[in-house]
Amino acid sequence: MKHEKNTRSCVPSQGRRDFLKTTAALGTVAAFSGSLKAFASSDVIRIGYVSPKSGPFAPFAKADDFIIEQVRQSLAGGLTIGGKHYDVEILVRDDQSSTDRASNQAADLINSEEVDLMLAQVSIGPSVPQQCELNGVPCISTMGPWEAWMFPMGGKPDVGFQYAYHFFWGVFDIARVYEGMWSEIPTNKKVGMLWSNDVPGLAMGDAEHGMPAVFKAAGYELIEVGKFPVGADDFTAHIQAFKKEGVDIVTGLFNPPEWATFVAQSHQMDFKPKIMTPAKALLFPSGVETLGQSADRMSTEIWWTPAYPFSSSLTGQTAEQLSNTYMNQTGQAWTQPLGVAHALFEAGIQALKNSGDPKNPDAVAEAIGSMQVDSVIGRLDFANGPAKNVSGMRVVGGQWRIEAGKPEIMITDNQMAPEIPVQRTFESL
Amino acid sequence: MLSLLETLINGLLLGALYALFGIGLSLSLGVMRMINIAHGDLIVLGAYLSSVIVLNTDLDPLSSLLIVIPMMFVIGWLLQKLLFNRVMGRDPLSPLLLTFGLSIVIQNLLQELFSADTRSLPAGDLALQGIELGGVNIGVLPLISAGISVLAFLFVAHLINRSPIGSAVRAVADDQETARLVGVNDRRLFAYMAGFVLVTVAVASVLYGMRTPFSPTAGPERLIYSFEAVVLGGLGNLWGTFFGGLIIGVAQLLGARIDTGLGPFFGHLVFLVVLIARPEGLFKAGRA
Repeated sequence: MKHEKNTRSCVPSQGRRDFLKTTAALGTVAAFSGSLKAFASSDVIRIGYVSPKSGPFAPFAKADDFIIEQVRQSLAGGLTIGGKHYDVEILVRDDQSSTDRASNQAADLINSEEVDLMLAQVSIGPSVPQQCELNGVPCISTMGPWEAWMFPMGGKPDVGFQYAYHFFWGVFDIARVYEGMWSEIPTNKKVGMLWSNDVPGLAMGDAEHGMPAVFKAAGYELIEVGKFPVGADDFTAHIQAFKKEGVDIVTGLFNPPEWATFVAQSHQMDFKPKIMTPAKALLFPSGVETLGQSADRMSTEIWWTPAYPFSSSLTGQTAEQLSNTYMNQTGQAWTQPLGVAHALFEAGIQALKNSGDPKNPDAVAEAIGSMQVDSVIGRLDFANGPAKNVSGMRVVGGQWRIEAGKPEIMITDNQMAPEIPVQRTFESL
Repeated sequence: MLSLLETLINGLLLGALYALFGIGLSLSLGVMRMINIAHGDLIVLGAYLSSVIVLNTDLDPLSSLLIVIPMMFVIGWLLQKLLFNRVMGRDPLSPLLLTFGLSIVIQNLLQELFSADTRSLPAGDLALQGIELGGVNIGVLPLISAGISVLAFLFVAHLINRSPIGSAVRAVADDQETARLVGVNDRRLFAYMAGFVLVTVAVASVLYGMRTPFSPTAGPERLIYSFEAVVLGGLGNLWGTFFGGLIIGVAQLLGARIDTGLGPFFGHLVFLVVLIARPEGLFKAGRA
């Protein structure tokens, strides 16, 4: 009796569960057959993109929305590669300027979204390419000196990587640009250096592998008191030493707030060098605006300006047209990462086209390795870069000029890229 | 020798600003027995308010205080009334967690509204001027900041020690239960106190924004310096906070003479040593 009762009570509930299961399964099958039908004539290529959309590094990704919208429009009709038609989907992730989060986002894009190609900004560190190299997904990154991409990943310049590729300038490149600018006016060749006490500061300020090596070889006398902590409120010790040594040139790696503090304190303490060339601090107009008139004739490296004589392989726009469209659509001033981030997508799309089989990671990775793209920042050449898996990138020198309160950057030195025209001669502060 | 003197003076001027950061924290710790983790973010919030006013009106940063001070007072009053009063007096952990959350909210709100770009308050030529006294160069703006800091401490000390509201505040600080018995409405008092704390924060934030560019994530660092100034001087001792700030400032700059990369480290080191040797702070803990 007991047994019978049990069976009876169980049957309906089991039946209900089975019914639910079957319906769910049927639904899934229906959904799949629907999508299978849609994919019958065309496949989907998925591109992952990770950048610091928020957090302290957000200025590097400010133009992202605009760039991705443009890329999506130009790919609206899909791509035809090797006689086959593909739709292209771009999946965008914010790493919040955190290396840990960048790794997680990359892993998620690789494992859950199964992206075919990864594009990334690595201004905070190479966590995305590292994930890609581990998981066998082709990746192109930019926005950081290639040394700061290759060495933290444990790479060797003559060996390279299998799936990770990168394009940017190197530390020696911008050191030569700086030195080129300085040689244009007479100075006592005494350089006061201030490097920030973090990974990029230690790398760029390294006596052997960093910028000081180039300066020293060019006959400059280097004065260095010591590294300064990120977020420093005070530079008394540095300025006292520079004054004592009679330094004419100041250089180093700064974030905009630290640079503004250094400049104000130099004025207060009556330290007046002839040349000030900080890296990073003067990249963005917002950082320059904070300095007001005192930013006039400060110099820095330039990775891209609307004056670059190149045009996009994706949209056909010239550098000037690209920045004008950006300014019209967003109402914001153009910034250097605009051109570079655009070129990242140019490189990515070109790699897919060159691969012949965009769904095959090895084919895509191989295609990047031998790729040349004429992009809006000039030709990228992954086959003949400064190191394996790396394409160089043009970098020139320029000076900010403040006219009628509005900052504008002018190219003054083009030794590293003679095809980019000089706009003004270099002047002392 | 001269450069040592210059370092010392610059350290004192920087320390006076840190002390000003700490004054509000000292009050909320001393009177309300509450650690406000969002203190640094409120300083940054004040700087952003001032920058919005400066951009949209003809006011310069210092005169923008005319608007920023009342705004910050209202923000402080509302925060205490709507949020902090709910967790006061329960256990020390609740206000800590609440303000920790508030800190994250403020940072993200600022980032959403103003983006991650750095901003500064345009101090014009003032920021660049320096005076030379017998071979020692001193910045005019740091000098003004330090002057304002001293005035702020004098004002707050006077308010706490001499005014009727001050005696109510001291009564609550001494013995909350008994103060209630004699008719002090401590919750209402706390709301006004929090408003007043944010007034001191407003002054600190404008001077801070004129000296150093700021971004939405700059708050926590401000909190650390304020906190060190308060604890170094002794909890609830107002002038202790002032001298605590000065000590941190001087320690940072003297430390930077030994190794430029370790300036803030030496500030923290002095704090730690004092904490081990005299956990109650350098100066005898007195009334708020």
